[in-house]
Amino acid sequence: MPLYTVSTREALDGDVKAKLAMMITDVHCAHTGAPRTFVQVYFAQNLPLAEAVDLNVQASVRAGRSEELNKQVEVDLMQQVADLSGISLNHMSFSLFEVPASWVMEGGVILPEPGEEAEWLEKHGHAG
Amino acid sequence: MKKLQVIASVHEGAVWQMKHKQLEAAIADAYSLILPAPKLTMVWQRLPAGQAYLAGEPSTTSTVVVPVPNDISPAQREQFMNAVCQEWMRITDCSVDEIIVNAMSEDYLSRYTALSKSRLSKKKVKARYLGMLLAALVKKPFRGYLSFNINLRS
Repeated sequence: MPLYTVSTREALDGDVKAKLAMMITDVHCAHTGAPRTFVQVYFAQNLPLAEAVDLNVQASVRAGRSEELNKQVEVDLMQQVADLSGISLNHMSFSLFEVPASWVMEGGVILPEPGEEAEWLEKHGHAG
Repeated sequence: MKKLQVIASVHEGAVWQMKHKQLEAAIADAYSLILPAPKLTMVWQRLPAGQAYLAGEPSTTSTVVVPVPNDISPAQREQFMNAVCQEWMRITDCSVDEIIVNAMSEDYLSRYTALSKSRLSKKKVKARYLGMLLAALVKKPFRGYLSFNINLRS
């Protein structure tokens, strides 16, 4: 976690998906300080999205960050998704879902609370 | 008897396809740590190649969402997740970095499911889900498991 699910009305090219996955990882980590190995990106395609929406990003993230920080991630990420995908911001939607860190196990251990990653990494280590 | 739906997001063609019965049994056993004999439905959400990434690179990691009662204690939740994680690693021979377990409380899972559906056209969502479910049920006897892919096709 986080898990970003990018849903599109039509399939994106493979190279665009790869670039989006890298960019989303970069943006999330730059803003939050989370380790890159936490960031998952899924793509769902050919979906009957809501009217006037060609691309939706659903972010499932650890709870505990400020509203302001979450908004910064959203704004930066969606602008770059628009740039890479060629889809207008007006035809995109974003939703955020927060889950307590203690409900998720990765690398065989419970995830740290936001801001406690450095201690967690020192104690448990993590691939990458 | 409590009814719960477990969703495993897994990569198409990976080892889970050969081991799905063992994995389903192991998860059912793990539930015995927290609930008396729940009725489980296991749904396998397949991730086609090129549609899943971890750390910006193509992923080989599976994610299992195992819903739990809202009032479970933190210690029980961790014990349960650990049991699922250990059994998944034992059965599939994956590394500890290739399995993520999310023991989401039932009310959160309902909200998450509703949020996922909200991205779709209200006019088309019922037909799409119904078509996917029917196809998944028809194919279940041949596959041996209930499955759809992330593109909402069975």
